[in-house]
Amino acid sequence: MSNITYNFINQNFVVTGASSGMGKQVAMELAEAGANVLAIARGEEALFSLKTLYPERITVVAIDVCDSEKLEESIIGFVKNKGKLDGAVHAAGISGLTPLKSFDENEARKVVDVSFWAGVKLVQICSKVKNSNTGASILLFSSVRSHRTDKGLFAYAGAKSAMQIAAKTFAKELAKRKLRVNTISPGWVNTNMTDKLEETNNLDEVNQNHILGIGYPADVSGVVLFMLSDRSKWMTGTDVVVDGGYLA
Amino acid sequence: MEQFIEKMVDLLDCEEEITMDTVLDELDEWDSLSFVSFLAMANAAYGKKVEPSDVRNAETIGDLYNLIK
Repeated sequence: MSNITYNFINQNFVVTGASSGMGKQVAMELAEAGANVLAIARGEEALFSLKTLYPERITVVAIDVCDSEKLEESIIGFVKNKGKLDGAVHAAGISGLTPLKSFDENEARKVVDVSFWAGVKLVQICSKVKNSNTGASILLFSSVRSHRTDKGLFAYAGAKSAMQIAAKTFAKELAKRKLRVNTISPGWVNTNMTDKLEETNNLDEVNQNHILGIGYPADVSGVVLFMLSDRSKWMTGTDVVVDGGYLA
Repeated sequence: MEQFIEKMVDLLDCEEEITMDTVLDELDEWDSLSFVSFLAMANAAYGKKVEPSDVRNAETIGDLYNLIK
């Protein structure tokens, strides 16, 4: 049992990347706290199993988050059914190693499309007056890799870094409506995505520098809920590092 | 013309009704950000390179329309 329980009853949130890892954890915890959640991801099967956990609270849409027309359609539909948004979380992301000498340009661009461009479109859609309540909070996933990168990660680290400065820009553009835009930079968290990275990353370095040990999705989701809640209402345009001490 | 109004509603992101006679100074949403957004939209959607000074002199939505038509 945690020290903190959140109350998001009758509030509405969009979560991308909701079928696995940190996105799924956030979607579940928001639903548990009483929120209506629009869970977006590509994996239909995983989404439906998520929906069975909270059938009344979770709405699922299986789309590619980079398809901005479908993204907008699904958000407008959700707003029509449940009401305007109180927040959004962009947790969708893909890894992909892109060493300078041999990277696949399509793959590199896809990494940036999912982590960065889809996040930009999500902010654009969710920040419209017709789609969001005053004071809504948007949280975009960045990464400790935007602070300390490694070989073969220029596309991933670049996209995550770009997300931070874009979030600061959007925070300034949207503050008039009290909308907040922040990023979160998790360290190494055990998920499907990091499973794939294990083969190629220097795991000794990763293990050694996460001085509180490797993380789990629930180590990050609590901070996500805090950033969506009114307890963080004076925070905007900033990055929150949750990394088990990796950057210490 | 209707298409222009639609684009302005989107750009200003306001819920009040907008017409060609709407006075810009009476719109809370007409600020420095929507000013630069208008310049960008004029270029992207209408291929017009509008002078900032002309936008500054515009008093109504109709005046803005005259800059891009």
